[in-house]
Amino acid sequence: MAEEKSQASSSKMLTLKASDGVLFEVELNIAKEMKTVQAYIDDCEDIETIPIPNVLGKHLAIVIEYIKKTNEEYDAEFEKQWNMDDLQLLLLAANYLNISGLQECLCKAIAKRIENKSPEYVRKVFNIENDHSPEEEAKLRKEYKWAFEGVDKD
Amino acid sequence: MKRKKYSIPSPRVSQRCNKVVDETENHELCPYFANIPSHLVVQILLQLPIKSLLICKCVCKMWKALISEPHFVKLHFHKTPVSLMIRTKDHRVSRTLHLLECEPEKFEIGSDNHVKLQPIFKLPLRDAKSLREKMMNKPKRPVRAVRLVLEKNTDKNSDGDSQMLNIDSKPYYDKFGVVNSCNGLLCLCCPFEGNPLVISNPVTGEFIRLPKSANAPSRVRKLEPVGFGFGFQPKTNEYMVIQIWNKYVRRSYTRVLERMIFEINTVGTLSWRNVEVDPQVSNSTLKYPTCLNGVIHWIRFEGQTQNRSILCFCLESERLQSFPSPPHVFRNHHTVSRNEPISMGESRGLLYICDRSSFHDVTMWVMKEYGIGESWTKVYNIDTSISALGRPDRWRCGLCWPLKHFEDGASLLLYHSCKCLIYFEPEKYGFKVFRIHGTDSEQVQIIPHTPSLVSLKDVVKGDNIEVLNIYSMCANVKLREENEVLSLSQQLV
Repeated sequence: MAEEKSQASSSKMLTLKASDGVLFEVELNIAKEMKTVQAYIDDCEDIETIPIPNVLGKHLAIVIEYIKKTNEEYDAEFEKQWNMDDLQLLLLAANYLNISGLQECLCKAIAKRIENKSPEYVRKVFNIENDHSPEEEAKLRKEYKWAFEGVDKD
Repeated sequence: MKRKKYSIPSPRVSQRCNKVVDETENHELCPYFANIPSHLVVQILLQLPIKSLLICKCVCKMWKALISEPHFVKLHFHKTPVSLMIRTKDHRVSRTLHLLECEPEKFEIGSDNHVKLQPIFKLPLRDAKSLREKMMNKPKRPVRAVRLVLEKNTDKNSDGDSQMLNIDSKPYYDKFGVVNSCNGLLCLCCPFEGNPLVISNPVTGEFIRLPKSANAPSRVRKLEPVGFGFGFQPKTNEYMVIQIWNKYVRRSYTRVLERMIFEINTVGTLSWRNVEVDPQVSNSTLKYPTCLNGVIHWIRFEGQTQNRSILCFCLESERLQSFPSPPHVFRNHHTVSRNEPISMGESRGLLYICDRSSFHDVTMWVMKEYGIGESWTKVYNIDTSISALGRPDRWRCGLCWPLKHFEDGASLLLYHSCKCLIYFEPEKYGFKVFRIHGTDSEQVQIIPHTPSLVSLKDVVKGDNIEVLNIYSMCANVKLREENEVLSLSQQLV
């Protein structure tokens, strides 16, 4: 079905194309929440399909759903279903698309999941290599001894 | 409206159906996965409490650098909830501080639960040098002021090379008093005279000893304390300590004021500098030092007239001047009590005054616009004639700290001595009483202090003053009182 060009601009539809080719039709005012997309539209007014090269279809779907329903309650439930990998990719998506509300929400969710966890766990989550020397790490652990007490088991 | 190609799946569905596909796609996206850009890492880190941030310093060098960066520290400090440090009193060295973060959840615990006051921080010992000397000498000579008890090291997690020593230290030598807290740093002082001796950050365990002033009191030079304060000068990014003394000389059978000594030390430098101010202040005692906007404020208690007012010292202009006070509060001269019933402090950038001089009320005033006398607003008037304990009760040693920003329907925490805290939430449920458990000390002291990661190494800037760390030095010195774990529980009335 062809995109409808209606009189009121708020019901004008736009197509967003994710990196894996999945297409999403969204209303203009929803798309405008993504400041990156907004900039795109500002540059070329007649555009109908906007490529989103950094974001997978499944994540773009979640982002769009978030924009459609932004209220407090939804935020709390929203994070619980995603695994850590998805949360990080969503954060990257929200960052690329420049949606500050979602970005903050995801940062809080990720922070909650690494709170009071050991450095090994955090490294694994973010895929970071430990470049501290054993002496440096031992010194930090000694200086901040109280912080390492009662750390959650991995 | 029918969608073109792909209807937005519900999250669960997409995860179930596309699981295999997702995994391969995630592998393809590995480069993104491994490298969350640092500005996003910072946003995540800003949401973590201090304990987790210190753990995260161990993750890698870059994270350590991000967390140690002064701008990050400042941003994070502004997000930290208003907190109080609690320590026991009663003939102890009281070097352990128990943190109470004043978040609403802590006070919703109900009567069956206990909330542990954690984490626990340690202050340095005032006379640590001689303590160490005594520890070194222990096998050879009996020790006068300190009794040592050696215990076998059964704790697997400790350093292994040394034994835990239980030490009975004497508060006379080792206890510190507290001047005030600023930006997460505590200024510690001699508990008798009140003069500043040490600046410490209990969270990082760092501390420095302030240099001795040429004008410091000694056995031969007796000085009378007027006031002390610790503050931050935002324009120069420096911390300053102030000490004010009166020097008397004997004339006939009386003593006469020779001069007033007003000195400043810029933290990190080796000397105290004299500042010329109006010597009028010498007839007063200055209490409740509070630093805000680069200005240190005190409540001034004039000796003869018993007048009270607010005095302030601007760290930039180095001028001492009076400061507008709330109307009527300081006019009540009758209560010449030892427990000054008026206290002052700062919370979230606003100056507040707690007035307990009336028999019936506790009143909280807030200066809504800094420097404008008319903006002093009475925020609360708590009728204490019928107390939370269900019977008419004069609030003893009642001190008051605002916990939340006043516009948020703020709540107060009142300390009713003898280990009892009274939480006042006017909008919701009025009073709730909480008791502190876990110590046999009769009383506790409450220090308003919001923790931060400010590093003394950044404050000191250079090699003049050595930054010491309590955990590196006194890792195996444990006072008996440190075995106590304090917790809070609600007491039903």
